Order: sequence, then structure tokens, then C-alpha cells
Amino acid sequence: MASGVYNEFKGDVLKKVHDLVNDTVKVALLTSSAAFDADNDNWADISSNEVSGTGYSAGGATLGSKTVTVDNTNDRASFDGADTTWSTSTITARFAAVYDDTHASDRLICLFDFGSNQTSSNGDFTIAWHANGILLLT
Amino acid sequence: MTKKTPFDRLKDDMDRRSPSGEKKGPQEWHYPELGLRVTAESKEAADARAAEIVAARG
Repeated sequence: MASGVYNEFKGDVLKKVHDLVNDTVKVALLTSSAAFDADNDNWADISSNEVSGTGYSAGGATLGSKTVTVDNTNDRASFDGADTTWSTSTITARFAAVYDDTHASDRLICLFDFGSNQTSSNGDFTIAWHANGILLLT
Repeated sequence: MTKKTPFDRLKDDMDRRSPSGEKKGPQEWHYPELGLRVTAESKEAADARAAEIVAARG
């Protein structure tokens, strides 16, 4: 599986470790040298593969407009945020990592595989999150 | 975990309010007709998320 939710985060949810709407959540981009390993715990475990480029700051971008929604019609809950954009950037990235920057160890939440390298050239690099959200618990 | 008393809950609620009485931080907005409860920093963000979910239902 090239994308997924980290195991430690799954445990954290059951231990009341995160408050995703209150916490600072970051989205960081990674090169094709990265790979999803569900056993990774913290941002430092994968940050060596972070991209660099014009318009991109180390550690990634802060996720805006965070929401947690309980959907009693479809019996599920989701975590979502505003689409993430690096403006006027020149970036090549294969993965996006989402992590809790408020957590003392910058706990990893999930990783998304774009399927192939995605690039921007002095333009916008935007991640448009799925309508179901960044995380969907069913 | 010790169950909160009504006083504890009132204190929690007061702690979330600024001196002017406005609530601080994320709040939960209810959309009973849509079956949704959205926790967000602002009503605008909650409304937008509710609209997005309803649109995705088709």
C-alpha cells in the first residue's frame, strides 16, 4: 500500500492524544525516495526525504480551515482542511505527509502517494483534498 | 476517568469564552436536517464543510 494511516496514530486516537481541530497540522511534501511504512511514528522518521524547492519551506505548510465532522446520515466521521497550495513554487514531489506539529514528537498521521511525481514550475502546487476529507472513519 | 459535574462543565464552557463572552477556539455547529455536526474554527468553515459533504452525497 503506497498511501495509508500510520499505526501509532491509530493508537493515539484511542488514547486521546490528538485534537486535530485545535492542534497545528502540517502537510509536507516528499520525494520519490520515500515510501509508506505504517510502522513509522514521527515526522523525523521520514523527513530526510522532504523536497526542497523555490516556494517550499522545510516542515511543510500549515493546514488551514480544519474541521471534524460527524455524519449521522452516512454513519461516519471525517477530518478535513482547506486545499493546500504552495504558490509561485518550483517543486517536484511524489508524496504528501500529514503530521501533528503540536505533538511533542510531531506525530505522523497519514501519507498520500500521488502515484507519480507531480511538479510545479514557478506556479501553484496544490493538493485538492477529496470531498470525503483527509481522513474518513467509517 | 472521573465524571464531570455540572459545575465542571460550566467552568469548561466559561474557559472557552473570552472576557467579552465570545467563545474561543473551535466550536461545534449542528445541522440536524443534514445529520451533520461540524467542529470548526468558524461558522463559515463549518458551513463550507457541510455543503461539501452534502454535494458529495449526490
